[in-house]
Amino acid sequence: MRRGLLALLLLLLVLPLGADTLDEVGVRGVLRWAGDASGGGPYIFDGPDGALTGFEVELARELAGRLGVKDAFVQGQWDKLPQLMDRGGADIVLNGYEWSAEREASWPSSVPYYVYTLQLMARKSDGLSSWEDLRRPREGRRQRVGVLSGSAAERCVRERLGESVEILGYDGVTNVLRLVEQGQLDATVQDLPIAVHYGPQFPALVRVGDPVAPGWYVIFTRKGDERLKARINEALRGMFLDGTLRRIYAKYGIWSPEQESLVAIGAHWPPAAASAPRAPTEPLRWFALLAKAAWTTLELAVLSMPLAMLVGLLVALGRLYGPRWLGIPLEVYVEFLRGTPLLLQLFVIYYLLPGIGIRIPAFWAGVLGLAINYSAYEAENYRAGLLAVPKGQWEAALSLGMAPRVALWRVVVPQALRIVIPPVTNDFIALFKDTSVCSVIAVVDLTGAYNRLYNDHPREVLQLGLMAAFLYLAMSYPMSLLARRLERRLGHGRIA
Amino acid sequence: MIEARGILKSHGALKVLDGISLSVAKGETAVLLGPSGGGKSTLLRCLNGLETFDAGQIDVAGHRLLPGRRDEAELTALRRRLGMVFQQFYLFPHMTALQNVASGPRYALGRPREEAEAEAQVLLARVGLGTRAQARPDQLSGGQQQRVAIARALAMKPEAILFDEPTSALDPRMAAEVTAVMADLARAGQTMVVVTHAMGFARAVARTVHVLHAGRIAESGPPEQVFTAPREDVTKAFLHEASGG
Repeated sequence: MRRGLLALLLLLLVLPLGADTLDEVGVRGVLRWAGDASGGGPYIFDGPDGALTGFEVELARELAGRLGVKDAFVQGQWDKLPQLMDRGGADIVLNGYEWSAEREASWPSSVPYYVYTLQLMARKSDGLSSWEDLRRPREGRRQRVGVLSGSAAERCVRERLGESVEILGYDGVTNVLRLVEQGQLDATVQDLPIAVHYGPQFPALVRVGDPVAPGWYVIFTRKGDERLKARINEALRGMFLDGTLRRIYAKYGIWSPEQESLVAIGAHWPPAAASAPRAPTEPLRWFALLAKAAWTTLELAVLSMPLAMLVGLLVALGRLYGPRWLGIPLEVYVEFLRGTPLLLQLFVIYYLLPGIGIRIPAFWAGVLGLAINYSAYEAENYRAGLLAVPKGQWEAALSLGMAPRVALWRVVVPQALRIVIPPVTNDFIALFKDTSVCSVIAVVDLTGAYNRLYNDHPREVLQLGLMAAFLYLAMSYPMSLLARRLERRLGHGRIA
Repeated sequence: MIEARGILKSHGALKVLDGISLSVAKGETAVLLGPSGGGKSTLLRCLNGLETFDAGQIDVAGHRLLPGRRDEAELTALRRRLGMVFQQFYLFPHMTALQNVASGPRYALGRPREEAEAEAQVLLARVGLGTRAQARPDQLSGGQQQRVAIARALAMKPEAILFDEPTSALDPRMAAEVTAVMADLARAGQTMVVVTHAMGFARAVARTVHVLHAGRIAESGPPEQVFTAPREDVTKAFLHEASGG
């Protein structure tokens, strides 16, 4: 490690100009490639022996070999892999990334290594026969199509079917296939390699129609790494011409005749930028999208918090004043929900409950998950608040002849509610931000929408970031003001 | 009205109440005096069931209290007929003065708000706070708060009111406001049991003074006798100390 660093320093002295990651890779003897193993097969996944496997794993190994170095896999979150590379965490991005003019502008791409197509999949029992069948409403609502967030599949469905279907974006692949199988989604559009790889594991699903909308998987490099890119292109061409690529793809069942076109396409790479100049109204469209998502955030928070407060109060009352047998189950409730991540709880509610016949629409699953999760925190707030009411208040109420239950509701609880205003306000603001976790169940809140836009328009990070920050502030600041006013108004109830 | 016999209460080895007996007649103002830790407040709190005791029995306002487990419903019924005023007032901070006074009739007896608050307004006037009905407790002085607390107890039309050091947390001027109200009540024939250190009040208002020491009643008698011709050494020592000697 230290020797590597020293060599790097020397290198920087020797090559002050024209520095290229290729030199660094050579000195290090390792090509670091970024991917996301949670994306699944056949790209990068855990093989039966526990070792990383997949056609991209083999591709990376072969590529590094042709550059005369070893390869090292760097795990990252899929939609943030280029940023990981930009920060210096990896040398290249190699993980089913589709080429687009937008991406090309930020990260120069290698020649394509795979021609993918998009495959529509649905339940066998539904008898869907074409894309057009999706336009028909089902049970009085639009059909639901699940896709990978920010993928070419998402854009393709939007372009072909537009508003006639409900498009839901997810972070994973197998979870979407399961949702189709369970009936929460009606169909999904996946890159063909995924359909090939996971088809056998989901026998209830069938491929509908021919694959459509071909596109190219490419390797992204950092800007300025021209020599590294050239070496990669040369290696990829070599792998194509000597049959290495075909051998790898065939091994994973994803070789197709279209792959033959790769060399010809690669000869004139990248394609001339066909992207039209950005319409001046484009930022307005972004803002509208973000504002709509902000509204979702608001709805999630405003619907779930009162529920969390109510359940929390009841749990706290049960623990402090309820029958003794109730104490342990309630304590378990609180500790379990505080001790497990919200993400997992949402996952259980949305993906696992349908297994026992309980199907909750994504938005309401989000509200429920947030409410249940936060009820545990509110229960502790209220417990502390109830205990903070002076004993004398109880005695005064009882001495007036109020029954204990009446004293609790009329005297103790109202004071406890005032005591806990600050911590509950805090939690409300925290919940606002936690709504972003709902993206795992395809509920697009402000953070989710920002991530997607950013993914499509990586160069507009500043503009998009400012818009999102503004919207968050526009929601949370009035909330703080309201809480402060509430506190001041009820603050008269200072405890003597 | 109140008849306590042989009340025994211990905290471990310490006998807080050591077989105390106390009798208070209807319309009587009884004052409990004595050094701190003598058991005055504990005895008072046993009378309305805020504390339990180990032996003896108490007959109060038509209910009988015995050692051991209590029936909450019966305690609640007893407390509706027996008011209590605390040293720290314990007004409900989330209610106005008027709502505090009306809280007993409204929430303990379930009477309509308008009716309860109309009566509460009269009681506030009676303790000299007719104009402060809408004030919150933290907007009132200590003396005013204690007078609201007295009005709150009166609102239940109790057969007797227990006062637990009602002026100890107040400066002399505010204490005087409170004792003036209590003296009025005594003249009106309200049965009262008062734990206090205020000798002036005891002298002027009490019909009977009981001196408690070490969990027992050392001496009982009319104030003129107890203050001017104490029979017991304990009383003499206490009076000597209390007069600043």
